[in-house]
Amino acid sequence: MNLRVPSIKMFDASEISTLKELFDYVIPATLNNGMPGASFLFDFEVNFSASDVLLFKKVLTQISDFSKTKYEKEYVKLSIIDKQIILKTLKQKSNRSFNELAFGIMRHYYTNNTILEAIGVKSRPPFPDGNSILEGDMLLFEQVYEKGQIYRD
Amino acid sequence: MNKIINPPPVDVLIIGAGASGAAAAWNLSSTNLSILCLEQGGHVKPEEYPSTRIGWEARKYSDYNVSPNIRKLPSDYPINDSESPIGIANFNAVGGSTILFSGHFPRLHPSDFKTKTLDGVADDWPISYAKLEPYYNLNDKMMGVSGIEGDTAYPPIKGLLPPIPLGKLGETIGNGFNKLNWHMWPSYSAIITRPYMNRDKCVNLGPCNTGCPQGAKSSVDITYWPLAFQAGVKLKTHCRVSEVTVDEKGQATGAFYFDEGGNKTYQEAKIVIVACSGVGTPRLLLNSKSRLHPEGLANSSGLVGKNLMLHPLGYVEGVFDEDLDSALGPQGCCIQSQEFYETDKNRGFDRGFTMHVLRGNGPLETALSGVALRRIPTGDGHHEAFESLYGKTIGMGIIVEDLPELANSVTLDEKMTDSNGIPAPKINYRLSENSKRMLAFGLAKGKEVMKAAGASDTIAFGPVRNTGWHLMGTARMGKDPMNSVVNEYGQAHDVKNLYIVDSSVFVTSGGVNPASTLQSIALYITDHIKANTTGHI
Repeated sequence: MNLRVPSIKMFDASEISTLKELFDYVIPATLNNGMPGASFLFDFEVNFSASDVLLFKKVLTQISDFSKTKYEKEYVKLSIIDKQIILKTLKQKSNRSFNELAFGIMRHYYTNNTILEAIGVKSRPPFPDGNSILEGDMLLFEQVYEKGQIYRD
Repeated sequence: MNKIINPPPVDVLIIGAGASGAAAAWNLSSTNLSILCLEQGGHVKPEEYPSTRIGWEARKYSDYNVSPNIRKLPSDYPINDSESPIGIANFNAVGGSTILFSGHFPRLHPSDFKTKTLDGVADDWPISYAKLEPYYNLNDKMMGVSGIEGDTAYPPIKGLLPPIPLGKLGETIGNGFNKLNWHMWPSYSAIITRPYMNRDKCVNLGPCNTGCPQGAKSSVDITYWPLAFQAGVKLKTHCRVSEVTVDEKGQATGAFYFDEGGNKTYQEAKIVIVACSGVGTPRLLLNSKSRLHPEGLANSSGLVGKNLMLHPLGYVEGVFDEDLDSALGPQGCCIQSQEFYETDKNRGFDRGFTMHVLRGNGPLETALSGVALRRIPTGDGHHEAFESLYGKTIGMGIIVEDLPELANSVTLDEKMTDSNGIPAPKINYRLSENSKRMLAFGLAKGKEVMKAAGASDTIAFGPVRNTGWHLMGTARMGKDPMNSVVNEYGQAHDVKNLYIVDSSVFVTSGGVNPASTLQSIALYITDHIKANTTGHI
């Protein structure tokens, strides 16, 4: 696996595999409109912050603990169905960690150029041409004007 | 750290380079007075604003967060707002909070200046709308304000640039207001829609609230400050003032500050003007204790820091089936309604509020708020739910007038300090029953207009946590020294050469963004200083 994410070097192959599954659990791929799952971020040089890395480590530990407690196995050795059960357990029992993780993943996902293009954001930073917006019908305000003064002197 | 440096004395020392400090500096720059401004932040560089980079939205959660407690930049000081339902929002730089403000720029109403007379609540201001009107007009001209004449909620306002485009979003909600026969009007926007005073027009980039790299949003770093510099005003950045000093008669003599290197420095001045916001100003005054001012400077009334008003903000959102391109355009400027601004006792509360139509969120904020509000799931269905919201929402802020209450206050925290060891401000604030009733009413009315406009779904909640931008009332003006901190000219009752020009001096809050008013007050007060000072002092 050719990972190009610098901060991902903080994780071993097994941890990266788990993180990818976790990312896709938060934002899965869809077939109908071609949106990739969040694990696609691993194909980019996303610079996860130090606090992101700490959070990922913490969640990996929690996943490992849940897995050993329930199945007496490492997470990576579980079946797909059992893995899903563990991730669901994480979401239910470690709600705060899961939400922090989900928000962190979304921050990277929804600021990725490929994703912005896929969801139809035509104008993206640095916004070279700005955005064209309908001027709007100013006659809408005639009704208000005709009602007359509403402020108190 | 212990070295004390004494630069040459100046005639006027202005503390704070934000909205009011900039207006004051420019207005005084037409005199022969030597003027120095000290600012704890630095100069911002528009080319480095978040929206020049693809990941701009993420920076709203870090170094461009609205809360100094999250941002934690060297220019920031911590604010203990843990016991307040509303967190304090600000930005510390040349330009102050105008760097991040939305540019929504309405004025107070004439009735706001006489709430006691008209409605029997709070107090009347010692000045009127008519007194301030020429300064509102001048400030609009200096800042560059867009809008349209004929608003029935105000006395005539002229000289506006063409309004910000309504967009599909504005037309949609406008039709909703018309169905209900409620007031609405294009926002007064401190955003230029035509080239103006060497600045280029708005091209609807959208992310106004993380700084405008186009220079179309009228933050004071690009409006007042360049002109003040041209006229000779000096500005020192990264200088945090710790104390305003006094002589044996109790009159201001200057200020101690920490420069960028942490050196304690003394700046002598003949007039001191404080422009540090409704939180920063009382913090500085309370920290400026002396034998003659044992409870803090200018505090013989005991009102420094009291009567804090924050404008509890409600949020309403409507979801529409049609794509409204709602993520495009100036985030905080579209339409405002003041249908419920003036008092109607039948509503169950005193005073009123503004309904402030907002554009929709960008992609990241759509996702984050969608998940937080359980409108977008993680896992299956995530993309479909996102698609149903992105570009299809209309937001609305309900800006509730907060009445002054003594218990709502800014004090000095006993433990928390900033990086220079200066005590942090502590916010002691609760929503009054009047504000709660008004907020609930406003949220219900917001949902009503969203439905009238065709929303298929609505949400409403408030007060929204980190929306305490509008910091008012903590050094109020008045004619009675027992019941106010400064007189009708912003001059401290206790210290004749000390002036306060920011929104601390507000007697009431109105139900609108205060930037236009606080800048106009700064111009008005400094006109008084000019009229009473000839040449060098």
